[in-house]
Amino acid sequence: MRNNLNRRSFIKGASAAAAGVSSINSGNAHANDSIKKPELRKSSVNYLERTNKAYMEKFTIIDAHAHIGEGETFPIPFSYEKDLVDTQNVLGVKANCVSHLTALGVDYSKGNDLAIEAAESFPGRFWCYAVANPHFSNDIIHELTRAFDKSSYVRGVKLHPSFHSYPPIGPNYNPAFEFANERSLTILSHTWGSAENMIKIATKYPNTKLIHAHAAARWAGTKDHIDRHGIGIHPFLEAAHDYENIYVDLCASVAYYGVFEQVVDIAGADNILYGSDTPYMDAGYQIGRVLLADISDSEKSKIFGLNIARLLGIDV
Amino acid sequence: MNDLQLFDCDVMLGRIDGHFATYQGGLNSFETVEELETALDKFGVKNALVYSSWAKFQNTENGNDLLAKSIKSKKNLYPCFIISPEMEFDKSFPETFIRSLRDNNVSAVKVCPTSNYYELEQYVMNDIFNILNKIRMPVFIDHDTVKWQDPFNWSQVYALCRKYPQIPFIPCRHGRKTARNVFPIMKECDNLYLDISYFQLNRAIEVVADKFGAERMIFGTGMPVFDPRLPITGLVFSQLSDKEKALVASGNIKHLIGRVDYSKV
Repeated sequence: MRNNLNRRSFIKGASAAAAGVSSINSGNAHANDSIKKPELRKSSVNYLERTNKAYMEKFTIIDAHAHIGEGETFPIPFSYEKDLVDTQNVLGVKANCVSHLTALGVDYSKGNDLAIEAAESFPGRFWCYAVANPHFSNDIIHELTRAFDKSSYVRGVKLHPSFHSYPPIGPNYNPAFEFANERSLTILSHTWGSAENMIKIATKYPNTKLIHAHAAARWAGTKDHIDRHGIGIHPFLEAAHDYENIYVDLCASVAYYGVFEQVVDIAGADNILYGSDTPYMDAGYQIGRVLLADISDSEKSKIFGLNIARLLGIDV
Repeated sequence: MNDLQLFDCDVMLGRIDGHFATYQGGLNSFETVEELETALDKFGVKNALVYSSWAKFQNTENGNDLLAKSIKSKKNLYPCFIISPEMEFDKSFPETFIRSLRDNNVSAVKVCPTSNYYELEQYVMNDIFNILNKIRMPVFIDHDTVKWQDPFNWSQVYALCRKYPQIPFIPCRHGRKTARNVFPIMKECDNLYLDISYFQLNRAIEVVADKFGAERMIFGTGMPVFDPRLPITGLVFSQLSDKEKALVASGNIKHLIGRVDYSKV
């Protein structure tokens, strides 16, 4: 059984005991609620050098949030497995963790099979999230069991409350949570709706590992910032810091300058995952957020691949 | 080592304290020219078109003037003046307008219809656009977009491209889902250029190069509000030839600003 310790409480208690003080300032850079200008960190590094192969080869890059296939909401060029592998080769990405757009679209079961086909066609280049559709709740256990039994490339569960227009932790998802808990699986969701939701599920199903999609990158750098959907990002970052089985992934088209390093400061590199959402978005853009970041190479290694490898049991 | 000579077409100078609503939270600003230069240097950006936050959000004339004075001595920083409809109503228009652009070596301008509350229809700034058309001045169209869902009136862009064929129009920061509007306009109007700062369609840079040529793309970042790292690696890792990347990185914008010809007015 995974340890679901609330790390912040543990650290507070241990520190207090060591220092003999009764209250601890958590050291959170945003302990106050006022607007704080993100700090521009100076560096003497030539950033363009970080795009050289010699530097990039330091990292095992596994894209924790990607897709295969097409949808019609907008044209998605180069979206099938062969082209995605081409892009991986250009970027030095070892593998993409994918859900199939057909599974998120018109046919979840066929889509899950298509993802498996792609993974088996390009061994080691794709790891699959099996999609669970809440509108077919009675079939979730059967479908997930089928997908996981069918292929060892299936490693996680994908939920999409947004596409499926269903509450993020509504009761129809319970079979998916139970399945994942029983098998100690990772669940990636777009999205969990709130940090409270994640904490509720993470606590109730302590063997699961939960990833909040698109969380880490649209934050504007202030504690009370809410995005256009009325969601506050900061609580997710704090939850990722506090709970070992809560994670955030980075993929998002919007990135505010000077903020990503604070994301790492608050959530901690151990609980952040690089993802590009490719082919919905160009992975060449998304990789820059981490590759050129003012964080240590050790932190980059975790975010780029070691964390997701650990979550999905991928051998690196 | 990657030695792309980046020319950023979209950099803002000045504070934006009270306007966080405009950028949905993005608050970062370059308060001084030195801060701006530090950031450009950090990311290997050799040149930049710079506009003034004061001109965009506070007072156009004063802000443009402040910008011109602030960067006058900087050979690698090019002023991009904000223009607005009331300039046409100045009693000494067009002489003052032309003189202001020419004396400050302005080689690009920006319109901000969303934050400045006007429609970019043909009846707005007709006289101004006629002048800009004569001198082939590039016009950046800034709708304060943050995310791909933010509205962008492509009908207006299309109409402008058709009516003023000598003006290179560059809509700023539009997302991947605009392709179905942008591509038809680019096909018909060769004076529409694509700012790559936020156009994150999968392998978009190659797609656009294939359909329309690398000559039609302009590198920009949206600093300091938006993270420059994404468009930088988007260009670096695009599967274009080195020559094509160099065009996008700086060659195209240099060509466009180099064509501005004040002798025509």
